[in-house]
Amino acid sequence: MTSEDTSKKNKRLAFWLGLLAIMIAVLSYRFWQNLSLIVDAQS
Amino acid sequence: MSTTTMNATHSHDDHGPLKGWRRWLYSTNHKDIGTMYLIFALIMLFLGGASAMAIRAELMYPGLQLLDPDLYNNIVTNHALVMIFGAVMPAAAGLANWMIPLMIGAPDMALPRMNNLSFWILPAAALMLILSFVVPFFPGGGSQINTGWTLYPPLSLKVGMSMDFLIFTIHLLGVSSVLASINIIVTIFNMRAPGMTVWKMPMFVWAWLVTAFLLILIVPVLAGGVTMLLFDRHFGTSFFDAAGGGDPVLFQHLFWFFGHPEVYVLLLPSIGVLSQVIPAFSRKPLFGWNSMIGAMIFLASLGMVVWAHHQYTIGMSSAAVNYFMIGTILISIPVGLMKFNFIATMWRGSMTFETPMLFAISIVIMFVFGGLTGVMLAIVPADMQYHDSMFVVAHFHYVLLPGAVMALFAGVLYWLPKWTGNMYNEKLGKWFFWTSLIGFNGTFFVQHFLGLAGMPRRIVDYSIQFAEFNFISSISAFVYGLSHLIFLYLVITTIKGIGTTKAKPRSWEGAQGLEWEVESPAPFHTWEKAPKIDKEGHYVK
Repeated sequence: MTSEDTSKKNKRLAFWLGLLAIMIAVLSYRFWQNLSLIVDAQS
Repeated sequence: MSTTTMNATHSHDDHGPLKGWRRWLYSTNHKDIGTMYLIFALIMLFLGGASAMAIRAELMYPGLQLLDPDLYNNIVTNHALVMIFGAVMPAAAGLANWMIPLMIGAPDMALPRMNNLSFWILPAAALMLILSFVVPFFPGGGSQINTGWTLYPPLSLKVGMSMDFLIFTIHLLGVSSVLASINIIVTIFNMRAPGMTVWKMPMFVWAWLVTAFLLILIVPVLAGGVTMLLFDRHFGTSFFDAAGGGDPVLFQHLFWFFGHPEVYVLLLPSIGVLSQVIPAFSRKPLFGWNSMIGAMIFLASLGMVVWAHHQYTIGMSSAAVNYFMIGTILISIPVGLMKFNFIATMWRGSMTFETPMLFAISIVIMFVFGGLTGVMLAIVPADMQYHDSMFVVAHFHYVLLPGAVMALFAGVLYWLPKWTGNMYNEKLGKWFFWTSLIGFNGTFFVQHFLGLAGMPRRIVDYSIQFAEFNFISSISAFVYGLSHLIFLYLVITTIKGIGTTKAKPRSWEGAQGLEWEVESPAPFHTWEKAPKIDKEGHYVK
């Protein structure tokens, strides 16, 4: 495997891990409470 | 620290570090970035330590001595955040940066530029954190932060702009941690030398692999939580505001879903350090290799589903309370397994007692003590009594100081010869160990009794009957604080080579692993040509 291949492989894995982190941030908020419910309750 | 000296295998297009400040600002070298992490952590350790000294100076006698109550609360908050996010996590990341590529036979981290970014976010975050502390002292700066590191609403909704600085600090620290974790996982998965299978990786690398996954799973939840807090404060939402239909307890769940596994983020790299140090000074391989890996994964997994034991007093259903109680008590199984593995490694080994080993042995003993009080706190009816008392303060300092901080000192002393090329002064090391051991136990042991007798935590003044033990605690804390000046002196003299001897490539007789196959100090570039590993996981020359 050349260093370019390794570099591509590294970036691909980093991308998926980054996406996982962002998904968790979003999902945690969906998981714990439904945004619309809270906003409705306020209005 | 690093030099431009190359090892025998270097090619003609190798280059040394840049000169001056550019070397550090533009660095993509894992050793330089590791060094910067460690220096940053040391600075923050002294900053957090100064705030600890201020707290203990105030609590030395009953009544108000030095600090007004608002400032006291501000300092308590600051102490926790600086120590956790500024000192312990960057120190562990520094060890990871320095050692993981060396240990797995990789030339550098997988994503060197991202590594640079992960580090350089930290000083910006530290500046924001300091601003959150000082802004209230300027005209129009609002009130001081008085929430503690947990930032619970509704109180945190009412603090002035310093809370916003703190929220952005947490965002920055979160980005830095997640980027560093991604980098570590990718490095471990993709950059291992041929023959270095995952089952042959050093335990420190395994510990960091588990830690990095844990960080990716929990840090975004805190980031989400504090973002919701920010929205409640400024954009009219009511996630946590009961007046608008929100629920303050929701924040507690979000916070502790991060906060409890965070304890294992602090502990696991240190377990990895102990797994390197204890076999080296026992001259035996680590006992129970596979069970150690299993215990770490089990600990991290279980640690993610027991968060609400921090919230027993909020009034959960009895089914939920029972679940969290049993889950929490189960944590003693993997932790106990690790401790038995450490003891079995020492059993009938040819032990010697250099400073890293002294730290390791004392950590095994003191951490068991912190674990036992943890089991006490896990039991719901008991926790109803201990909750928010000094007993809790004693418990988590017995877990985190030996389990995280002292183990990191053991790691720094163990690898310092590899980094600097000099053996540190063992006499200074022993002085540091004994003064910190005595100071630490004197500070926190008596706090168990203060808590059991009813002294609340996070309070600036206390009733007269708590005076004696608080006095003992404060005097011991000053000894503990001053012991770190010995460490500072030790590190500086080792870097400068004052009163030290030259370190061999294998600086400790019983040390095993690829990092001991390169010169001391480790050259600026290492393992440009991947090392060969045999079937037993040993280096082939």
